[in-house]
Amino acid sequence: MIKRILFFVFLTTVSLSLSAAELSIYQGDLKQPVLKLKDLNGKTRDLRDYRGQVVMVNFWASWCPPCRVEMPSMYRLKQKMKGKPFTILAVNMAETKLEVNAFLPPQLKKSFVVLMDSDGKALRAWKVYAFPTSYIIGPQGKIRLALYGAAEWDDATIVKKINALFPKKKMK
Amino acid sequence: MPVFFVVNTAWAERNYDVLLDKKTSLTVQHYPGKTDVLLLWFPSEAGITQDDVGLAKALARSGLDVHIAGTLDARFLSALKSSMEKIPASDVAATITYIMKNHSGKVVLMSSERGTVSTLRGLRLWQGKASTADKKRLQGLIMLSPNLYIGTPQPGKDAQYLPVVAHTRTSVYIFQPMLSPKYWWRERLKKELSKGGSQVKVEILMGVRDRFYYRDDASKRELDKADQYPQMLIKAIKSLSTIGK
Repeated sequence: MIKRILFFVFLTTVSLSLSAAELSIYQGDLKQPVLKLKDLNGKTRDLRDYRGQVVMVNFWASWCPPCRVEMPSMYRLKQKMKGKPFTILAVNMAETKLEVNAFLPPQLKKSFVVLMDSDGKALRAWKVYAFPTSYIIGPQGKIRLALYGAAEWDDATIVKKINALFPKKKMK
Repeated sequence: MPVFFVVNTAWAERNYDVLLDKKTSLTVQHYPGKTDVLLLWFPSEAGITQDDVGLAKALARSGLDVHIAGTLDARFLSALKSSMEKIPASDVAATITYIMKNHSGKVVLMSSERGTVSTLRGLRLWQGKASTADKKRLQGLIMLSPNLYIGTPQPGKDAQYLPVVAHTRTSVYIFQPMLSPKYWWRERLKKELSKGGSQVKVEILMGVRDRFYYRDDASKRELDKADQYPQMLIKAIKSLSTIGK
């Protein structure tokens, strides 16, 4: 347990030199794909229930090194979005609950909604050809941004792009 | 284009050069085996790794006559994914031609990851010129985790396969690790290969990732599978003639 905490502390303090592609405006063929999966507690979660929020859908696996490397920055992103309607749906690729629970430290399990894609249906529906792949869904439920590869999610440029998706507050 | 064969005596006796043109030669590492089945191996974007050499030696000890073609070095290319598209199909075809001319018996091709691109292209080029007898000697192709997409897949778009995939016509045995995004798209690749008339079998490698036998961060399961891999390859080679029958 202590080793896992120290591992993530290490990852949060080390400057990551992820040579990932940029988080870019989405140009894929999917419009509003369905995502309805069970979470780690067995509860069914539907992406449609998050309408009105900005949602990050991240496809990952614990055996995927770049997935592991970017997770602390996803946690930091979530911290930066505190108070805003922002959710991270971390879709795990066909691992067991045991494997996922053993891998994820408690603070990540609290920060992300971990969904289990046990038969790859979501992966195929979302046309995921590499791990990690991330989609940022806007409040209207449409995919707005996408990235194939890992990223430093709390990087200022990325945070700015995601912040731009929140509805602007009306002047009183 | 004529192909000249030079034995480079400065190398260990198990290496030889295939002269591709007046200025360029391709060095083949040879691990002799006693059977009449020759494995011609075109490496991945990692080049010829120490783990590849270990695998070649294990295969040779089991009787397979193993030849690994130094396709990257022949063109002074770095061991990168982007280098693989720069390997001329003619280099692969020339190496197959050399093997067919200088060895009797059956021949099997092998490649992995992005190395499969130039292998398929070279195979097609060779098949266009080869004799019927030589084409019969070619038993087929073994591929590990083939990466045959056009460029880098984009999120939300179906990855497209290189045109050569749908024009490949041979017996194909694919080893696909389960812990890989390519696992989920294996049936799509199988379908694409079948368009050209290839007979395809896919064997899933449970509990291991792509590049499982040459990863720096190999798990215990991957190390164990790496130990088993030579025998798995030999079994696959023996079954090539029965795929689709």
